[in-house]
Amino acid sequence: MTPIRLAVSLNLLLCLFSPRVLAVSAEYLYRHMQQSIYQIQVVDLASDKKSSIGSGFQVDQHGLIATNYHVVSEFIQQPDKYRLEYVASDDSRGPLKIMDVDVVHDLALVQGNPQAMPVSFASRRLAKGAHIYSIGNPQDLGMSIVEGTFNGHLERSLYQKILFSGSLNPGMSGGPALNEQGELVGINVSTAGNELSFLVPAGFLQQLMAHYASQGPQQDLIKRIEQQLLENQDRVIDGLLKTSWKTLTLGDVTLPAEMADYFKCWGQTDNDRKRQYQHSYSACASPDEIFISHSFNTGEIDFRYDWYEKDKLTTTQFYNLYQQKFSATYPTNRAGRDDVGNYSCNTDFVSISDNDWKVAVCARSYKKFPRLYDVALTMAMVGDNDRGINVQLNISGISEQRAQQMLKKYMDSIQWHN
Amino acid sequence: MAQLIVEVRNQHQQGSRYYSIDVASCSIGRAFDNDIIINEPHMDPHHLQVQVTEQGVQLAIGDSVNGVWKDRQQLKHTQLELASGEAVHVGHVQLFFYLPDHPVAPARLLHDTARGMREGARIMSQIVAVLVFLVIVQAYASFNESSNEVHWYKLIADTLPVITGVTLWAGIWAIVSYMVHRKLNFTYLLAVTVAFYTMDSYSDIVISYASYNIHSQLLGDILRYLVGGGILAFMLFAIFSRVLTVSRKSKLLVANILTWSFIGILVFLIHANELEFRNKPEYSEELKPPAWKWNSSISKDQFLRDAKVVFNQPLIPEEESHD
Repeated sequence: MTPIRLAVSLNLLLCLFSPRVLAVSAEYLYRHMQQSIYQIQVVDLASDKKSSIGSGFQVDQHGLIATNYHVVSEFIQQPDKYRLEYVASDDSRGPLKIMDVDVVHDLALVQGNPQAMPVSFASRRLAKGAHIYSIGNPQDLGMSIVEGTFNGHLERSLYQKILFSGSLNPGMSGGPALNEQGELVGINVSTAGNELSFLVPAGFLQQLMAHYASQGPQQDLIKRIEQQLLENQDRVIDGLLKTSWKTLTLGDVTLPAEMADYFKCWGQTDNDRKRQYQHSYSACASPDEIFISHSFNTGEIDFRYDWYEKDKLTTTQFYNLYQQKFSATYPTNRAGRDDVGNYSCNTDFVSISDNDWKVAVCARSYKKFPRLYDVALTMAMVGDNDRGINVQLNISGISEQRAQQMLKKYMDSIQWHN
Repeated sequence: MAQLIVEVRNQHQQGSRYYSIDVASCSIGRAFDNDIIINEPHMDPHHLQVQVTEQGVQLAIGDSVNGVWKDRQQLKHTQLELASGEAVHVGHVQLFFYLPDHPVAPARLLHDTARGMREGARIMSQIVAVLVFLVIVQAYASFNESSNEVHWYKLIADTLPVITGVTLWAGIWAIVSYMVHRKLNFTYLLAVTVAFYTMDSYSDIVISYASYNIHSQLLGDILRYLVGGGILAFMLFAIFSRVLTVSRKSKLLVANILTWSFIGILVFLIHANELEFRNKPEYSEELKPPAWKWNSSISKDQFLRDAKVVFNQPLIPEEESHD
């Protein structure tokens, strides 16, 4: 048992009968842990000022620090513009080097030369409602400890996360979340506001550390990230290709709905009286995304259906409206000119379910990860004078082969009932 | 007493010159020994001989370089009978031949307000007719593009910018026409512009049908430019035919050079724009319901095979992607 764990456990024992048990626990935890927790700074070389901040904590006795990938992503994407530094609780600072990353679970291992005690991993599973403590440097205001509740792992999620009912704020990313014994449960990663926060389970950090221990530092981080993204999309898309998808019916069409239990769908019918036509829509999306840089995220799948009936419109009016809606397609993931190329499209009239559809398939490739694409599928049923449906599917971060398989299965799942 | 009156109108100059000939025949040409000397570079030194006969006027046309033009036909080495008041072309000159008893219109009143108003009303009614046609075309297009309740005042409001644009365009050419011919030709130019606008508005129907049947983005694009360019060249030629003084062939040539250079620049700009980063996929959007088709839609598998090309597109060159 490490001295920290021993001290914290003794303290808990002593305080068992005290009404101030939680406050004392947090105070002790912080006092004993603060030396192992650092502020991580990405410093702009031109101005010598910090460009972004996060938190990190020591995970071995040789100065290896764990943090979030998104804390150090700017440095990884543009190493010639930034440098990476840690600031310890005694204000000492030193340079950091990136050793390994897990872009899917938003983790990074960086190497410095601080000499503090490493944080140890929790060995027991936590029960829902257990107290956990998150440490980090919110908004650069100083190292803080936040007390909250462990609410289990997110059930409908593509990338496993712990639901932490406590306040995480910007700057705390990469900091540790500890149980009452001072052992690592998770890593602070994101928040949805109102004490709804998320942690990366500590198990993923253990996997990353094991990889680092066996493979050593990664020389080509971009290649490593591409490999992780490829493996991840293989796993996710394989899962989707193997299962049978739920369907929904909109107007006269049966369409794919929740492809897996982590998809969320919603829908709406317009009730605007001024409208001369009827419109209802359904939209589904996977809830998670993978952060690559501040301008670029990937790993999302979403689709949307818009059903139109002409009602009081003339056929020409209806088709003008329908055509206008068909052209209004935008990708849902964030990407900039340095991240992706332009979309290239192929359009044609295709016979699906005994009806003619106008179909456009578009793809844009990733500049740094050339085996990955954002793919957009847009379809509209044509030839019926009174009714129509627009289908839009966006998949970000998919390989060509998987995209072809997904597009085929997706188009095969669409049925029009005459 | 005069036996023949020859009126010479030069297309490049305003007004006419009249020659009163008191003998039964006269010669016309550039040389100074002619009875009527016309300094027109396309005319031969001794171009033609005119004779007054019992039937009217007879032209003896020799072997000149450019001949004499009558009813769009070039005449050389021939005799031509003309009635009093008929005309022929030689180069840019129009020659009218009158006998002395040729009737002339009675004198106009010096300040004939009624005639002026009649003339003005005629021109105005023509302009209004053209604009009403434009309003109907544009209001119908606006009506078709609307998916909410349509109010007449919105349709009128939608037509105003189009009327302004079309009138300005016709007005600019009318000014050019006035500078060249001292004639506005405004009604004609307006009618040509409106015809162009109407054809252009409805050409997308052709594109829609073609798009449905041609399984090729490239062929579809070529057709789009051919139809659009053809309409534009036609309009320019129609405008030039009243505005410029060069030959028909030259007008056709200028109209086509302007049109296809414009289309070329357009294609270049679109291609150049492809090198710029765009976050939105762009594809042909025609969805118009096909009234007829001569080709069936392709199968899903065929489409997915075709779609492989979208994964093999080159990236935007790195130097283009930075600011």
